[in-house]
Amino acid sequence: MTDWLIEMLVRHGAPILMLVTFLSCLALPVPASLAMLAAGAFSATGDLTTGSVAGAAFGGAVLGDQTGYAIGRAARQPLLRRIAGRPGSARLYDRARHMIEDHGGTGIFLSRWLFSPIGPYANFAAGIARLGHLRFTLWGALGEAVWVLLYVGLGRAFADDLTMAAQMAQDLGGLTIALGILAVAGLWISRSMRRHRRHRASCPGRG
Amino acid sequence: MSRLASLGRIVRLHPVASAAFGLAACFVLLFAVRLVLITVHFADPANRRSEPQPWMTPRYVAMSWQLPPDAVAAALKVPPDAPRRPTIEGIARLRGVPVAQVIAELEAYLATQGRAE
Repeated sequence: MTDWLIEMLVRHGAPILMLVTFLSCLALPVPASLAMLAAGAFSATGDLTTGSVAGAAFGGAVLGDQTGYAIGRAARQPLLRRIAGRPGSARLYDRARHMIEDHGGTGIFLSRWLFSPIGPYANFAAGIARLGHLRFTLWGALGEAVWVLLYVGLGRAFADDLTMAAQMAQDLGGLTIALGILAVAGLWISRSMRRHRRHRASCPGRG
Repeated sequence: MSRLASLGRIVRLHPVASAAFGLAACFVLLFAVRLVLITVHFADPANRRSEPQPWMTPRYVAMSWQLPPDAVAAALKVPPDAPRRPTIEGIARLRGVPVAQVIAELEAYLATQGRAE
């Protein structure tokens, strides 16, 4: 898959990169980070131009985000109809919608590059929860710019050994996901400990 | 002792969150160590020379081995009708020879370059 993708990238250039980043925004399993690294490396050798590589990756990603958002919006009504009879799901949906309203912009920005595996689902969620379109587009484009610059830049900087650059990118990705889980678990523990302490303070008779 | 006891209490009260926290901490450590090892390995210019692969272009090989692109293209015997960005695999196809042969020829050329330095 990898060799084939790189071969296609070399043969057809930027349009392949655009297609890959587009599909990756719709939760399809395509190695977008690797494609950007490889394209970055080929821009350093002079086989591709940096402008076309960065432009294609960015354009594909922004188009993909918009498509994901539109899918979310289209799925909104059927979803609301489905959860209408279930109070538990409706409550969960309400909580998620409030969270997206409060922190949606930052969430969209960070899920473009730092926590990119959840990016496509954030697009769908933003569409379903009706996050303002302009807000979604601006934060999304800013995040995609960081994502593209990061990976194309990494590909250019470590162009002499693409295999190692890919390993490095994989490690960086793994590290950020592990750090994210660490933060969420830590927050979860500290919050429920606080709740536990409050609960004990309010009813001292129970241990 | 009290710190250890409170740690035990946290694990008892939140087994799932504690397990997730512990596992994530292990992975953070693992990835961080790997990243440092890769960076150290990469810092040595001798380790940055990629072994020839079918997907590489003559310019890619030239950059990785810090050689003139024209010299690498000549060593690969790139046919005049080749596309603008030929890969080693594409060159083999155009020349009508197996990829392994083109890679072997390239490796022989790179070996002479290594000695010349």
